[in-house]
Amino acid sequence: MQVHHWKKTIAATAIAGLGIWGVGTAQAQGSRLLATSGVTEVGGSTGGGISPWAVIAGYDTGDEVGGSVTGTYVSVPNYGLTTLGAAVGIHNRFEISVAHENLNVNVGALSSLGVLGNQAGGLGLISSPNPNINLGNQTISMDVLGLKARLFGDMLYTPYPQVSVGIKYKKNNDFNSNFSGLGPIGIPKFFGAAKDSGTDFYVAATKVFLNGIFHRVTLVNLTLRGTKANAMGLLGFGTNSANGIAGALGTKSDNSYHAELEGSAAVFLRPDVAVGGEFRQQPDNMKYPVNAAATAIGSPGTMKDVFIAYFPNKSLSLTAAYADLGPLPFQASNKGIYLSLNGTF
Amino acid sequence: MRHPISSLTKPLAVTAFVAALSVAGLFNAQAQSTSPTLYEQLGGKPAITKVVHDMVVNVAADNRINHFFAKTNIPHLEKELVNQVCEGTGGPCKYTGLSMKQAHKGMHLNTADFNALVEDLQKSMDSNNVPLGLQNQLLAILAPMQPDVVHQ
Repeated sequence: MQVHHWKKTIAATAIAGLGIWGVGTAQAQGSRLLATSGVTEVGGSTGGGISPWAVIAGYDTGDEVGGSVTGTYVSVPNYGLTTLGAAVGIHNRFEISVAHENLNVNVGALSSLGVLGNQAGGLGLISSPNPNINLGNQTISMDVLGLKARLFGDMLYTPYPQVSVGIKYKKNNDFNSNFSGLGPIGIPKFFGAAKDSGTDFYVAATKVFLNGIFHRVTLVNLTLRGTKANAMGLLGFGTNSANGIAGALGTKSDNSYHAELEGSAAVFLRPDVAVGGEFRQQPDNMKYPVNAAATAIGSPGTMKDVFIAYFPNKSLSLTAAYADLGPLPFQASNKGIYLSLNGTF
Repeated sequence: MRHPISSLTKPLAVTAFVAALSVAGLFNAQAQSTSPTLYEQLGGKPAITKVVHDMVVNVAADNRINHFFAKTNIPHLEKELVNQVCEGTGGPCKYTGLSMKQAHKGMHLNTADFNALVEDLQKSMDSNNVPLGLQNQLLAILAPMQPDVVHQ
């Protein structure tokens, strides 16, 4: 196995993040107010659970350095997503984040997947009568490197929102991993993805209304993202009609950026407890079967969640959510539990 | 062609989100127009004087920022703060002190210092059992002063 240099960099950054967190929490607290650290989205950036915000990691102001380390687990029937991430905030101005994501795919070595083949009565998506498709206990991993810069505004103190721009470089590690008898075609490529990596660009605006809903502190964030990612990149980037079953499903080649909107709203019932909801649109050019019999076709859709986050102190937060990941291969509905633990300083 | 589920849920999610925000705005607009002044809800001048006094006590014990007040005339500061909060919350007072920019000129306060003061105020309001909704309304009145207080 070849180990890429940037993977080492990510590992080193994660370890450094843990180290800095240890030192940071032991020596001094950042100077921002409780819970203004936000939490960490599944891609490693500071934000809500599924969307990056204009917020910079940690509790740093002015000349301070802050940061966070995070572990997140999302479980829906037959799919599980685990994320480990670290982010460093510098002077409440810049944020560097890394994340390693693992998607466990366990829609099973469905005997019904035989219908994908070209046997009599088969769907003919694959030019083999008995394709050896195994989607039981497969793993798709992805690494994400994020950079964010706060352009202007302070979500608490300026009358206008805090606005940041960010980029996220994502590398899917299983684009070509052989999961079937089809050769070096990974799950993303099998469903028609064009590339194993991609870069997202986003602009995010966050505003906190201290006297918000029911006289409770209320946070609102809107993020506009340019992306080619299919299912956040876990199913690759862009689409190519020549890859996998794309041609057979009528998936068109599409390597263009899609503008997608994301939104979060949170109300602090108490200074240390927030409840809220989020949505995140996704490109829908990729197509895949969304039932076990492979007779219905779908695409990645809008992700949503409702969450509760608890900030017992500035070193720790715990987020629990009920999340809807939108349609995934062989399963139209993917709803389940999201749990995230954040160490912050 | 868009998949039916995603073409339906995208506008729905956006609509629900915008609707939630609109309802939030309406709710507060109505609540504020029918409520007594924040000054009255807080308990008038005696209660505000107590909260301000306890905040100043907290500041005096707060090593992050107490050095800024080493040469301050504390009784005068408390009087000015009470008048400022009283006036800002709709009470029958008049703040006659310096503008926020003038009052903090040359102090080179930063956001960390401002946040420390906010925490000392929150601590005082908590210990005086000020309900959270009233705390947030007062903070919302004071927070916009931050850009005139820091980096002067």
